[in-house]
Amino acid sequence: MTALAQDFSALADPTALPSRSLRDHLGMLRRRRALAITVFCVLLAITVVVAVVLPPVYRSTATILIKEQEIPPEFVRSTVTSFADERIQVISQQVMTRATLLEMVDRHGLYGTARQRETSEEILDRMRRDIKLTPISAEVTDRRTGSPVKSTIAFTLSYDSENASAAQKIANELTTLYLNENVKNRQQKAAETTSFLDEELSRVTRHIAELEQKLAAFKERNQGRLPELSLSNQMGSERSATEIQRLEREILFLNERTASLQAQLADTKPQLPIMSAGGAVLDPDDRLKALQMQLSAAIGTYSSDHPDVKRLRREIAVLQAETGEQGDMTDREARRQELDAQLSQLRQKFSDDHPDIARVKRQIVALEEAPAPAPRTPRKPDNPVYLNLKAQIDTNAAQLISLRKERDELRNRLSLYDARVSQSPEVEREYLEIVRDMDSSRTRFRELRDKQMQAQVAEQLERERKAERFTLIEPPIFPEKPVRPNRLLILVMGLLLAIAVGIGAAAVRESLDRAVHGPRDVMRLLHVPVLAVLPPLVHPLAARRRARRRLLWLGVVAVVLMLGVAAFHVFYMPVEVAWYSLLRRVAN
Amino acid sequence: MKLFNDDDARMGGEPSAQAGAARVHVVRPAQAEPDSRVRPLHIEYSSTRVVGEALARLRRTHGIVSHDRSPLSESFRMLRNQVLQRMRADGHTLLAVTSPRAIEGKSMTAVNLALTMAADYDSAVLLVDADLSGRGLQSLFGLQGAAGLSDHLTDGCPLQDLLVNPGVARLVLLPAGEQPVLNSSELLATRAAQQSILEMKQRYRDRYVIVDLPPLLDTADALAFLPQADTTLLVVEEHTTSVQDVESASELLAPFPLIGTVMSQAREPEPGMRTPWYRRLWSHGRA
Repeated sequence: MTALAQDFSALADPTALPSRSLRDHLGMLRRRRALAITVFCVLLAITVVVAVVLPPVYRSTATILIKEQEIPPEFVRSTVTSFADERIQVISQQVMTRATLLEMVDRHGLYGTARQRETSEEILDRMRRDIKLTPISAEVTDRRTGSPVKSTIAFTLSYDSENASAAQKIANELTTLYLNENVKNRQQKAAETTSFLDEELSRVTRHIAELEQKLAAFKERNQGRLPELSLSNQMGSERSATEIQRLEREILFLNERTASLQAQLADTKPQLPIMSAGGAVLDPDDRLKALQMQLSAAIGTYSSDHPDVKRLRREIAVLQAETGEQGDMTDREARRQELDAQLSQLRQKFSDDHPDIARVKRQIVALEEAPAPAPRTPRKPDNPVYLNLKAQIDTNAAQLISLRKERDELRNRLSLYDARVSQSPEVEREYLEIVRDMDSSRTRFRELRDKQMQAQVAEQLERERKAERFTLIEPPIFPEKPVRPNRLLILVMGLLLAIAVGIGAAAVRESLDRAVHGPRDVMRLLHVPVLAVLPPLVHPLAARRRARRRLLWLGVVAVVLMLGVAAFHVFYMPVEVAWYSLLRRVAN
Repeated sequence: MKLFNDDDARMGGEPSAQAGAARVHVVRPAQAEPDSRVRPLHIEYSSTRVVGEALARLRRTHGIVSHDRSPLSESFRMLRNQVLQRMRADGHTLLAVTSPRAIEGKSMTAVNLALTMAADYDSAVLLVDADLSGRGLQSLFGLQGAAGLSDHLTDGCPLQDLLVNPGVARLVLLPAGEQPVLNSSELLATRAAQQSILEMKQRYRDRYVIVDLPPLLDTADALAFLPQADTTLLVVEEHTTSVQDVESASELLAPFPLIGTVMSQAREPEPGMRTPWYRRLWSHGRA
């Protein structure tokens, strides 16, 4: 019992008790070898089965180059300005729609039995997982900034399938979809731009037409008041004022002239003087006045029945009838005043009984009693001077009338001009508003037309496929070797995992176990020696039975294996073929 | 039949080759008969019932030491020697055998130790089955239903009527009793019981009493009996007994002298007696 002796010495110095030595660990492994080996075998078997059973996955890949626009962008600018990767993503979303993918799945009968078993959502997920899109970037120097930027120059599109030909077919279809979708997208975008610009342009055109109409109406409404006429209005106003002044002067002159002419006319007898024996020939008026004076003198001197008085009266009556002028009222008044003045003078000098006074009184009475003169029957003037004067006066009057009329007209015009000038700022504001609107609309129209033309060119560019485009540089090929799974790797990893987990399981089991192992444990706990370690007891019957059972199991396993292999050989495929295919798979 | 150093001349038994080769007793066939220096302790069982078939029954049980040089026998001899040396040195005569929990190895160890000690010429052994619950070692001898310690303690049957010699020299067995008793711990702690135990210890010189106690942690019996024991031997089953149980047992045993421990191995269950693995795991996890 050397071990026991060791234990004793260890017991003497408890601190010298080693913790877990390698021997303990090995002992643990030996104790738990059944568990460890079981776990190891199960895991290894699972790994082997997985490695062999995992279906091969083939991948077919297409490489698509993003080709730059052929016409230099300085000449023709494309209307599609988004980045290539962004567009690729957009196209991906458009291509990977439920309808497209499901249609493809059904047409090619992909995912065989899974299609029947799983929902279409799950199938779509699978399909989306199997499609891989990898952008290929390159360091490109930006032309404008000169700094290096990452730019997507190409991308690969691949499809994984358990069937090599299906992988190729689907990859092919996907590539076509991507290419077509790109072209469609670009053209659509360009066309949309153009049509939008067209619409915009027509809208602006309409607006301009409206404005023109409005302007025309405005001009019509504000005729003569437009700001462009304001200068001419001002000038017209000034001119009118000058003209009016001139006319005023002329009218004044004509008036004066008329006045002087009338004075002359007043001095001129309308009738030619009658040449009498007395020499001087008086015109009837003058004779009448003279006679009337003689009469008043005679009345003063004589009684009314005096033959001179009577004669004078008759003569006056004849003359009055002739001139038609019944002793001019003014003349009569003047005469009366004259007589009154004479009377008052006389009264200062003489008494009332003075014969002069009595004469004056009689003259006054006579004047008052004198019948109102009958209307004078006009007589055609026949004095040429008179007629001439009269004609001149008449002309002047006519001229005056026309001048006055002209002046009034001018005055009206002046007021019109003034009104226009005063209204012009208001009108101008409104007018400028319209004009500004018009100008901006025109500018916009021009811009839009330019843009529209550019867009049309760009659309043409897209239509002729001269813009940036996707070029298939490597079509998907038929994959000859599967990309997955790496069976050898799985096997190796599985082996390592099985070893690790086997040992781990043993360790876990051991750590869960709280039983005493070995005399050292007991001694540590009880501090008394272990007097004996009894050998394990194996009942001979149990040992025999165990051996028998082990044999039986071996036999059963062997028989099952052989039956399995036989069944495989008969029903599935000949063993040697399976062996070679297995070798090939592992080699792959 | 003549196995356990039963070289009693009157029995006329010839020691077998194996018995002669036994290391403990240097017994050689040539010397055996005439050499009178080797004089085994001889006890005449006048009043003791001898049940010969008990030994045969015992022999059928697997794991019982035999007169050979099997590892089991050798380790029990080793154990016996150590135990005897220590007990003699301390003047102890009563050895209690117990374990933290019920294990198959405890009673087996007691029986094997008793057999091996009895094989020693100088010591006689009284094996007491103090497991009054009734499933103790008396069944190993095929003595189910035999009157024993419980009958003595309850009905006062005289001890000498209860002792049984199972056909092995220098070994006497006191069975547990006719029927299992429930108040076993009280019975074992009575003054009468103490008196009886004292009598057992002092009756014969050179006689050792081995008491097979119930498990220490399962019942209170063992604790009730321990004050009477001179010293205790704790049986621990490797890979089965939990560290926790050993610690608890160590605390309980602290006031009493402990001679040492025996580490037994879990036995391969008998065919057909195997408990399912899941139940084993379950019970193990709970322990």
